[in-house]
Amino acid sequence: MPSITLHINDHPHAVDVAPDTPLLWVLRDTVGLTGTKYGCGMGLCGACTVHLDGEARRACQILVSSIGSARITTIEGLAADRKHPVIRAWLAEQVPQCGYCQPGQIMQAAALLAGTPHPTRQQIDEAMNGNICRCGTYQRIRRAIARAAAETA
Amino acid sequence: MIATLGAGAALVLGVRWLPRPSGAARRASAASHESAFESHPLLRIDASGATTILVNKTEMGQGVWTSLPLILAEELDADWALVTIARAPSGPRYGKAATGGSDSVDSSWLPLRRAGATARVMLLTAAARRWGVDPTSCATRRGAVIHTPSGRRATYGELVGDASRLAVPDGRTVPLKPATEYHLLGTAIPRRDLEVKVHGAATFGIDVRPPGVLFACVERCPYFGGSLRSVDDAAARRLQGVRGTVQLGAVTAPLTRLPARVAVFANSTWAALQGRRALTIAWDPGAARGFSTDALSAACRASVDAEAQVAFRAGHPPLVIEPGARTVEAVYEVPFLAHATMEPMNATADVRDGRATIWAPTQAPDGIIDAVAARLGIPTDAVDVHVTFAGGGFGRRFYADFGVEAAELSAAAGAPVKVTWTREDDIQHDLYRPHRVARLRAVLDDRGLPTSWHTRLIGASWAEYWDPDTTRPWQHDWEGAQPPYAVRNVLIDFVALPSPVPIGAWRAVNNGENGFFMEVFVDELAHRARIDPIAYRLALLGDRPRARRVLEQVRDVSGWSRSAAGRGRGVGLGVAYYDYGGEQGGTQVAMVAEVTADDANVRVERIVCVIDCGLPVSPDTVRAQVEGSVAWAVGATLFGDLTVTGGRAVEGNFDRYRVLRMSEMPAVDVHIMPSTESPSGVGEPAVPPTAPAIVNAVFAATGRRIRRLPLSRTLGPASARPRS
Ligand code: FES
Ligand code: FES
Repeated sequence: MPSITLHINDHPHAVDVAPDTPLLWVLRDTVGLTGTKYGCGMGLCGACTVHLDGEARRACQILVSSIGSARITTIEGLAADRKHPVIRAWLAEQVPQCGYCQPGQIMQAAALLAGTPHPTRQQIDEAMNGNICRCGTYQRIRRAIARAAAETA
Repeated sequence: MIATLGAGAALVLGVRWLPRPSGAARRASAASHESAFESHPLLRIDASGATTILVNKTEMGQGVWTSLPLILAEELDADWALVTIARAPSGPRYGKAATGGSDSVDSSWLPLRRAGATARVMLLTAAARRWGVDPTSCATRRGAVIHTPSGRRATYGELVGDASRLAVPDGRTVPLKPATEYHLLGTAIPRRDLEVKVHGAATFGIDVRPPGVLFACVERCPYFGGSLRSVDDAAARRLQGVRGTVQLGAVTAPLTRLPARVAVFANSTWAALQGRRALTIAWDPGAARGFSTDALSAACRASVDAEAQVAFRAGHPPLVIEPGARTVEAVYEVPFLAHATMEPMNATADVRDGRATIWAPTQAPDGIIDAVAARLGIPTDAVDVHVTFAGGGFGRRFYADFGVEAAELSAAAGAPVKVTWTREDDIQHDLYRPHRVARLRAVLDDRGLPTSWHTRLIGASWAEYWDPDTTRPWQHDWEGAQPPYAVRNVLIDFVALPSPVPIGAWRAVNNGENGFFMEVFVDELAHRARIDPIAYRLALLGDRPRARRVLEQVRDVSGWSRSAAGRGRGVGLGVAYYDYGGEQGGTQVAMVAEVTADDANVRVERIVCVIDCGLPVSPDTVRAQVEGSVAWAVGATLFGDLTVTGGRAVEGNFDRYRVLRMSEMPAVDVHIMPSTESPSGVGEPAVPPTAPAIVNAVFAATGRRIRRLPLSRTLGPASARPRS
């Protein structure tokens, strides 16, 4: 099998996987980065959200062969910066419950704030509507995004 | 390549698992040592002062990882900054591990306080002896003993050796702190499980990966009660990365129902999924072929007057309340509901040498131990369960099916196996909250208050599914159906109808639907009597001061009276009350929902919830649990609906099995009643009042009384859309 080189969290990773493998499973099973979660496999829940060149994307919907040289950032990469405003806001608002959806929520929120530093409530709801949280932490997510936005003012 | 096992594989596997008799019992306990103090299985203090508190309950979002250690640490007078938290191993030594029924804090409250207080007394005694002073002249504060007159101080770490040599006193005799001296309980302590969770570093069941593990995906018979006719796995086995397949029969074991299955083993989850897709399987639908939820609904409605089993009776209720001028009657219906925990079911198992090791996000490790032992024919002490963080539980993870299946597959493969359920597997092979129809009747007095009350429940009984030999309805069938209101004569009875659909515990178990029936019905009675729905409930709660207080409080903080005038023009407020566990020692919840609604759309704008859960051990966690319960139940009320046609579940993923999303989340305002009474549960009690509060609000807004959930079914597909 031809080896594919991925640029994940600022490091190159050569992986030997079938080209039609979704990035989600390459991250989880091949690279061993399990912070990116499986929730639906159909782009419906956002648990697998990563950044591709800074944009929030569903890793379950990206074939590994289609990535090319795009830079991939996972929750582990984002969290390497312990002072990341979104992560700090998430802790300040005590957002997570079970935590399973939260890597995806955080990646989605970080991408939102990168493009829209001061989102309105409606922009927050729109940007986050694809990320399901079965524990119902939505109200705290709204607050945490507002807090992160305020802190980066 | 693993050979495909032939038909009847369940028995074939049984042979392969014959355990060698093993007389060696596991060593009972760790050796005691001088360098650490372990007065209780859940506590260890090292000479450095580092304090480890083990958690014997599953952390699935509800915060036990923090709230339980906090209780012990409070009585210990521990330095919270020196406390490390870890998961207790499985085994009876660490107490009851089963996590459910909102009872973790409640049931651990006294034992953990005693554990902390006992250790504290021993450390204090050790210091007093070392100093040759009267123990009553010593005090403890933040991980140290202080001799008050002299100011001499010894940290707990410095005392572990001396304290370890003391006999452990009977926990029932040690004094416990009065609530006025708490400095940890009731305060804003950050949760201890959140750092790893926001860094993507928490280990959930789906993240477990022992060396040499095979990845498995399982095709399950989609017909409830169906069986496997034939399978052609040739194409699957040709795929890169696929290592083999195996057929598994249906299983009945403790807390376990598994259908006929075909599993694919592979080098990665993706390869297993591809292999599974390449299987060609013929299933026999069996008797369920003609079953549908529409047919079940019709059968339930046709059976409201069928012979019923009495579940509960108080006073002298007429067995039949005849329709009449003073009689009110209404028929309600709720659908099957899936759990759809965010982390789909999964488990990892390593079965070898007559032993089984399971890693699972389970609410009931003991249940998995029993079920795996029964399935493999090995003793229970040959099964170890490692409980991971769970990506939601909500009752689904109380069952043992996913753990048993992993053990079956590891035994078949002769290697460690990790089984990942797809979302479709998870939704279509769930144990659903039961579909139910209920007919409620009441006889009213001159003021319009009920003197007799009859709730008739119609549907599949838990007894039929889990305990077919019994002749009585299970407590679960009618739990929460008993009105907390002062009604002289009460009758609850049950008409059991057969259904092949698995049923099980869903957040708040059957309090959910039974609370819905009751609280909508009470609202109907109040409107008929032309009495304000809160005043009506208060009139029926005369001798229940805690219940009255939450209702009065929700009236006062929700703007209930103020907004009465604006009601009926598309905006409405609805109320519901729920007694979860009793006026004495249970949790009391009163809720007001505000909706905007018209004939086709409902939007839940705001939920105000007042909760009395005794002492709020961790107030922010109480708030979080109420917010989460509300989100959970709002989603179910708007569109939760698992339907069956042709004997199989229709919805499989979040496109058709809709759950609440961000844009549909109401503002949730939580008020916690101050209390120093023993704490009671908070994970479920706000679920039952949510649906009736919303439905009652829709009535206030539109004059339309909805008696069937979800609202998307009653109001049409356009309902419950986010406002654009
Ligand atoms: S797993 Fe990718 S969106 Fe759900
Ligand atoms: S925190 Fe549990 S699913 Fe979001």
